Amino acid sequence: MSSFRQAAELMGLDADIYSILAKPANEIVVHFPVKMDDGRVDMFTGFRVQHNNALGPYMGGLRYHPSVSLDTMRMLAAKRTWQCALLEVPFGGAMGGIRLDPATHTLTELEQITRRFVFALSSNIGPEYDILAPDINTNPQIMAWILDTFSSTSPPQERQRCTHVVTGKPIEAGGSQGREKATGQGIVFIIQKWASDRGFDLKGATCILQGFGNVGSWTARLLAPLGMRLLAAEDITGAIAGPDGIDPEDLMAHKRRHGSIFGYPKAEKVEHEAFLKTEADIFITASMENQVTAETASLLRVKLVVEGANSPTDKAGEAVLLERGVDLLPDLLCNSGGPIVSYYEWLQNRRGDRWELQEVDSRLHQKILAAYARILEAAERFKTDWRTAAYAVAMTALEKIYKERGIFP
Amino acid sequence: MNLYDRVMRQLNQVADLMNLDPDVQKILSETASEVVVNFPVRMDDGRVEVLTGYRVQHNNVLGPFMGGLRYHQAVDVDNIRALAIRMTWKRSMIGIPFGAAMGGIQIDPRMVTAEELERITRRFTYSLGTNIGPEYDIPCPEMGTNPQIMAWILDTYLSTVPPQERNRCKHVVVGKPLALGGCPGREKAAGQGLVFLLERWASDRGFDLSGATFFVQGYGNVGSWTARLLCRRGARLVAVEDASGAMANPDGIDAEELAAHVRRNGLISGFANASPLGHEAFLKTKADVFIPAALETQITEETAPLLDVKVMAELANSPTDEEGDAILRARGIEVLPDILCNSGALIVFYLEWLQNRRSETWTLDDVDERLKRTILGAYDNVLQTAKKHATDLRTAAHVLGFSRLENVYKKRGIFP
Repeated sequence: MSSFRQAAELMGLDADIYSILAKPANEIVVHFPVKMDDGRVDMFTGFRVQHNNALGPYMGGLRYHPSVSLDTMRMLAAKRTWQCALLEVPFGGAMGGIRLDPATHTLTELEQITRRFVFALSSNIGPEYDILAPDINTNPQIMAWILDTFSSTSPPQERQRCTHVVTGKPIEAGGSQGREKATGQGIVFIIQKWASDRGFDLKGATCILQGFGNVGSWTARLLAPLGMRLLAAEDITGAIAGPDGIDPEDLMAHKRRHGSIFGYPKAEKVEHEAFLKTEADIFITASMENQVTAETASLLRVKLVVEGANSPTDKAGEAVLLERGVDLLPDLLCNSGGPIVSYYEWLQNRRGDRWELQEVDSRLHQKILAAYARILEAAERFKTDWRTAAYAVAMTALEKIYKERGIFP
Repeated sequence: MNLYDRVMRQLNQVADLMNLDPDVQKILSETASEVVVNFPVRMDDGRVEVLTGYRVQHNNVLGPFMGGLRYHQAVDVDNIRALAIRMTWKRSMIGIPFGAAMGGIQIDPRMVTAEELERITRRFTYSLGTNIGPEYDIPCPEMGTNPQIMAWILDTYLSTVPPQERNRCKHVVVGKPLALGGCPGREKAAGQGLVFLLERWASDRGFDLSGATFFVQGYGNVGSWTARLLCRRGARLVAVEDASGAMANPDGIDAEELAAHVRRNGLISGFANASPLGHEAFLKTKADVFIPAALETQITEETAPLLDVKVMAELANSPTDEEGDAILRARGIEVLPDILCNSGALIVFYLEWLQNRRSETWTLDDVDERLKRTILGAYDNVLQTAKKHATDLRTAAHVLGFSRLENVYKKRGIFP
């Protein structure tokens, strides 16, 4: 909450509105029985935290992980509220998940668990109330099961009106073009804008990348055609470096075959510290939290850090970067491509419409650059860093709507 | 051991005794949903306070969730969970088609004005949204809440549903004031239920309640109604205790006068026609019936040997701990368990729900007759179960409750 508090103090957020935003509106915990493949019944615990819906229906990810807890859900739900307010996407923040390790379940069990969870959430989710999206360990297939279960429990005449209860669906089930690459595409649009603002040519520029999942791999693959060179990459199995540049498409092909970047033959293995010390123009984080700390921030030799991951930089790490004059593009902006295209998927479903990829991309471009401009403007006005400025933009929007609408009853 | 642990222990003991299906035991050990809402309320001074409210829904396999709403500064999820779990068994045992829920707000109702209390209640109802409903989850009064608060809940809920449906939704909350669809006899319901049970217990033993002696711990709504109804049946109240101390009169205390005294003064102290008594002497009172109607864990290893009665009827929740229970059994003192004795209030809540749902208004006689039939029916079933499993009434009541739940799960299966 500290960025929230810092921004609230800076912009003089109304004390009443601060106390409303400091807590999530609803926290729902469900315990539900699922019949396992061997006939036994197992109980599972699922969560849905709905932070705020003053700007629109709740919207947020669904995570399947053993570490899922109310506290992380609360933090991520609030963050989604700030993100939507910053982007002017008419959604509020939510986050949910099930405490489980998907690797220990068969596909049929995963389907049963997902369906029973949706059934347990019942009217606490809905296309105009709370919309789900993929997060860690959830994917378009799981979103399709959610859609199917939710529709099946709605009256027949309403089923077709409910397609937008979940986003990140497979294309045939009502998904949007460009949803899969959306977060990476958003990052690339922002990097392009940052470079042009500085009169910096991306052609021939270099980057290093932490994380090679959906976000990292798409970012690298979309940057390559712009003439950028990937000098080093790291994932959970370790880091690799190729001073002449690693071909991200080729690396992706390797990952598809072997599951990770480990053992990629056209690059050499390097230590974590050497990876961080790689001299490059841009460092893109796309993996875990708290990777850039006071210790690691001083190792970096880059001009720009792009937070594709959630909260990759801690307070001390951020201070070191700012002190050293490294630019930091905050996660609130950088990983917003996913939520933006989720919003477009929701819009298409709601209107019964289908957009071409080009339309999705051009809208994403427009939306994310508008948010970028708002951050720069607020940073100037409040004389503060970009992260605090992003929060201040979000809170200004939320404060405005509360002042206009008032507190019922 | 906190209440939640005690409830879990009880569940596991009974499950072992009756060989409850392990899948069903797993399901009954957890709550179905727990909803926490943080909602802003404008206070009288213009400030906004964000309050925390809860609704824990344990199980609805037998019917809609239903249960109390508690306004208390010490409300916490663990406690609410335990109370909800226990109530599922109770409904199943009595044979009422309700599941159990329990909720509340972390607030000291004495610290806010009536206007604030109204806004808090309305905003809480609004926050719960579709998590409550006349055919889904029905709140009722509990500690710190009353018919006025139920009326505000009703009004807020109705205001948020479409006009054509409003009249169909009156049973979203029970324990309402009479004029709004409340049920006659609700105030005396718990006491009346117990009196029906005691009459039956006495007649089974060829024993007449008229002229019998009893003493009561606690003289709030429940305790005083029980005493008044028993006195009207000709029994004699020989001692009474509340937070202000104990008093006795071997010739009988006038229950009606004492109730009037408590209405005026809040407590029994200062009542003229009885002499003060120590706590230990109170428990040692020789009588036919002892009715604990106040606090938990009153009859323990230490106090159980003091009792000198034929039967103890538990009107309070969990007044007896395991050790106390064992001592009473060994001494041949019968125990009518809380789960059965204090079910009168629940039964009358159900009758209120039924009347609202059918757009009917019953007389007090209708209600009493139905209450009597329901509670004595449950008593018969508990006696039979106790015989079948050769066990005490408390365990039998739980076995009965669980076996009905097990049955439903076996027939319905686990979706999908």
